[in-house]
Amino acid sequence: MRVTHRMLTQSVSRNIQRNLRMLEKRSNQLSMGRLFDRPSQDPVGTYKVMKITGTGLKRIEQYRRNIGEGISWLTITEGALAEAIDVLQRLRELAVYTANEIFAPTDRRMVAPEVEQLLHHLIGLGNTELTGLYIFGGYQTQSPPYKVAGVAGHLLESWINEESGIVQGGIEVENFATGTYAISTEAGISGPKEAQVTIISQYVQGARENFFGTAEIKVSIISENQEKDLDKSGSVALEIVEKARFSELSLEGEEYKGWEENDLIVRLSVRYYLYSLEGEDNYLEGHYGLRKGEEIYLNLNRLLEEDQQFSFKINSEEKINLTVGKSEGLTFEGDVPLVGDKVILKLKAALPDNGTYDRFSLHKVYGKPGEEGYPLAGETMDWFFTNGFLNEKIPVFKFFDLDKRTGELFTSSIAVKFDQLSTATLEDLPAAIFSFVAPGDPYYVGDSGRRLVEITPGNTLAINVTGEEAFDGVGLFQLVRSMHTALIQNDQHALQKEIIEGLDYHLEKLLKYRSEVGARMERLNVTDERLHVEHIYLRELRSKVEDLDLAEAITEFMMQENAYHAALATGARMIYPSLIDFLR
Amino acid sequence: MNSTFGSFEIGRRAIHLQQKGAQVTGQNIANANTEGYARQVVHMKALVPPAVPGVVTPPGYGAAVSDITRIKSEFYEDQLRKSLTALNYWEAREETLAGIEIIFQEPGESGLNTYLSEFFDAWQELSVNPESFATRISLREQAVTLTSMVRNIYERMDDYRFDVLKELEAELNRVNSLAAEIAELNQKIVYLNALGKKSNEMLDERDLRLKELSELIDIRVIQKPNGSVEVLVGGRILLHDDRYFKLETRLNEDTGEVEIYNELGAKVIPQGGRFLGLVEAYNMVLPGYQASLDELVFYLVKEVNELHRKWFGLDGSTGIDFFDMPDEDFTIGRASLNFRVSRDILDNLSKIAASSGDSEPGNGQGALEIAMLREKLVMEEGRSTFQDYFRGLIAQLGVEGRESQRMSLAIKTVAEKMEEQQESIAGVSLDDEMLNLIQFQHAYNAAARYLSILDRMLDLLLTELGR
Repeated sequence: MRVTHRMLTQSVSRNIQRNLRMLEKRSNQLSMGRLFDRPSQDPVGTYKVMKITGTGLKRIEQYRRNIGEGISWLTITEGALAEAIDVLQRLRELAVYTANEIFAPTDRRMVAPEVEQLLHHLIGLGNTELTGLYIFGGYQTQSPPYKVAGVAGHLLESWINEESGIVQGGIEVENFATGTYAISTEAGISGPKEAQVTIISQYVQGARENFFGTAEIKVSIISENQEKDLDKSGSVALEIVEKARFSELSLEGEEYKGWEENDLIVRLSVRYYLYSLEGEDNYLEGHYGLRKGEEIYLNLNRLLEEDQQFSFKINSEEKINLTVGKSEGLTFEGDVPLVGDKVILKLKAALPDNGTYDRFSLHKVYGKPGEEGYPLAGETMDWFFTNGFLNEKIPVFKFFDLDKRTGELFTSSIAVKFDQLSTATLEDLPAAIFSFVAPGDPYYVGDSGRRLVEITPGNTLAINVTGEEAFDGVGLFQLVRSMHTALIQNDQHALQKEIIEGLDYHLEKLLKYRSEVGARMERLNVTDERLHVEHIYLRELRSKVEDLDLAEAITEFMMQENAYHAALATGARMIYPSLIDFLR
Repeated sequence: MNSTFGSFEIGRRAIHLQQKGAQVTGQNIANANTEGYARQVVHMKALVPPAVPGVVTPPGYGAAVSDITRIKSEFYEDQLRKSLTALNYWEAREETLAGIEIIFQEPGESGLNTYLSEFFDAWQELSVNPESFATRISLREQAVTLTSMVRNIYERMDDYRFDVLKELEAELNRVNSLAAEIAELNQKIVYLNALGKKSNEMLDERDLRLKELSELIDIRVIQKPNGSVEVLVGGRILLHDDRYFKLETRLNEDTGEVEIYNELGAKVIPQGGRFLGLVEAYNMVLPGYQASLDELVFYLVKEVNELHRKWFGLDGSTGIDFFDMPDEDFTIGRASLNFRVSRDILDNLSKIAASSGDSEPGNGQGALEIAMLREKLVMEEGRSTFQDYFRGLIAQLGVEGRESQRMSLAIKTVAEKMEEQQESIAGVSLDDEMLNLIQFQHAYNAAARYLSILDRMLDLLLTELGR
């Protein structure tokens, strides 16, 4: 073949180009640290890397995050269950201890406060939180799953939505429950007998003893006389009080009169948070606080007779006297001795000794009228306060009973003025009130939702235990309540049998769930370990596919560099000479 | 009977002849680096005296130039053109695919593969923490990133397609102007041929233009006896003698494809060259990847929404679309352009439906089922998952890209070989030319010496004999 100089230059330039291309590819790889960064450089490798990264590594990382979350849930659950087991063991000790015959009834009663404390502790455990979520509520994680049923709702700053007929406002939720409430009416007055109260939604802030929140509730009136109040159905407040003399009511600026002469009025009640009032239920009209010199209407339970005098004390200075009909029957006297951090308040209940006597009781926990623990007229009773009082506030005691069978509610409240109160360093009246008022039936508002998380493809595991499972819904709490009752009522037999058996049953159940939680944690740990190994393996695999062997790459780079230099050198020598150089 | 001065005539011709030789050598040397130049060779012939009866024939008339020809292989030229056509096709394809690769940014942390994965991870996270607004925000942001990423990819492919069309039109103008130049050269060559003259340079020029043309589009070159060439493109005539027929692009309204017609209204279907690469990029390659993306988006939106509508948000809402579903009859075509997180979700995080039941804030089962869509065989009639499908798409892109890289590399080698072969035949070798030059120089010197000896011979005859 004939070879021209142009061919030589072209082939030299081609060779140099080829060498440069290789050098560029290698130096790219070296600077990236990877073998390829485009699919066309290695389609199969690209596919593998995308699969390893996209569905392998990323997913494993997510599973491991899920497992981490699961472990924290189960750890908290385990802690709560362990603590509940401790409490139960303590309760069992107390039960065994007090079931002994040598125990005096009064001594049994002395144990009751501890049991009550333990009950509250248990309920608190049932309301265990993890980063603001209540872990025993099933899917209902945003509000405490355990609530204590109260009897009247205490609305704070409430108002009625005229369109929907919904009462909206703040509510002291712990004391409030969905249910049917009886409406007190005076004999001979026609009108609604019951109000259906439904909690639509509620939001509670703060700890148990110092909570505040808002709730939306719906109140509808169930009437015997449908045509009369049909239009008002669903638009009334919590309490319906007797019209009596206080026929004027201001509600959202609108004046409400009775629907008919001599009928009931519907009233929105505001219960003041600080309990600065002394007297009946502290119901104030409207939405406003009571100011100095202001006059308010006080709506009273029918149990209070005419001419009864109530005094209001505001800021412990001024007194407002209000005379309401007769004043007889209810007198209280009290003093406040301090025993350790517990206050024992002696109340002498001089209950009205008339026909209405059987329509209310002092406290549900303490039994039915006439039963032990229930103060009869003229009796003096010890009340246990587990928290102190606010020293400048006047405590208000509310007596109530809710007859589950008929759904009838009876309430009465008595304010007690303590002359020596200022000498006692008592604080936190609201808490005292609640400990007094609260022990209604605890109830469960959680559900049986199992919080499943995926831990490996297609495999899920529940990271929660619901209150239904762990505490038998409210079974455990009811048992402790009945233990409390048994102690108060000196029911040695119940303590010996049902209570101890029940406690054993629940202990076993809690132990079972605790070990199950342990087993689930173990499974999570094992899975996590396996995922971790898999992650490492996949990373290695990816590294094999896409990572550059640096030593090899640098060696090759240098070899190619040499080849390039050689091509340059030979090229230079080949191009240079021609015949012309040798002709003269 | 010999003529007295007949011998001078031989000398004169010889001098002219060697000068001519040196001249052509000079031309070759001058054009040693001219592109498309084919070396020329002077063909010499001995002049034969006419045979006249009864007349004694002289030994010879000397020599003369019989022809100056270009040394070039038509075969290699044709092969070179064919390989250039193929090379330019594959290079254009390679360019397109490399462009798409850049748009997809795979494999890497910022590609769709990662975003798809993170999208499903965000649902997983929500299934674990259905109450958390932080998780909801993160899911929403993931979804927004995913949708805008897809739209961006799609729009960039649209832009790319538009650029391809512009380039196509520019290249078409080049084809037309090359055809015009070749037709003009044809005319001149035929004219010179008719005069019995010849311009090797014009032939070189025409070959060069044909080569350029072959890079753009597949051509068939037919040499005509009168010296002109006829060029066919995609089976249709592009130029004939001094006439040429312009090409133009038309957009087919129905298919959205670009088509090429010649001036006579006949459809031209290119079979190779950069042109075919561009037409394919516009009509098939880019729309193909867009359609695959559309399909992915369509099923993703469909599946996610189908589940999402069943579940409940924190605020009790249900029946809400997670992604926008623009029409009642939501179709695959250009679904990517409408890929958006729905207004409801953007406005209210509570509407993200994680729960399989109403008023169950701690229920993440709905979110879990959506997260599990990752494993569901949805694409390709239930044969692959979303991510499989996308990975398959990228792998296909890689394979196609690699194929075109390899093809262009292979054909480039062939084209270089052809060019080398042609260069070997037609290229100017300075060594050769120097040798020729020396040869002509010596012949010239000899002829001059011959004349000077003749001169002396005559001088001797005229001066010495006549004295």
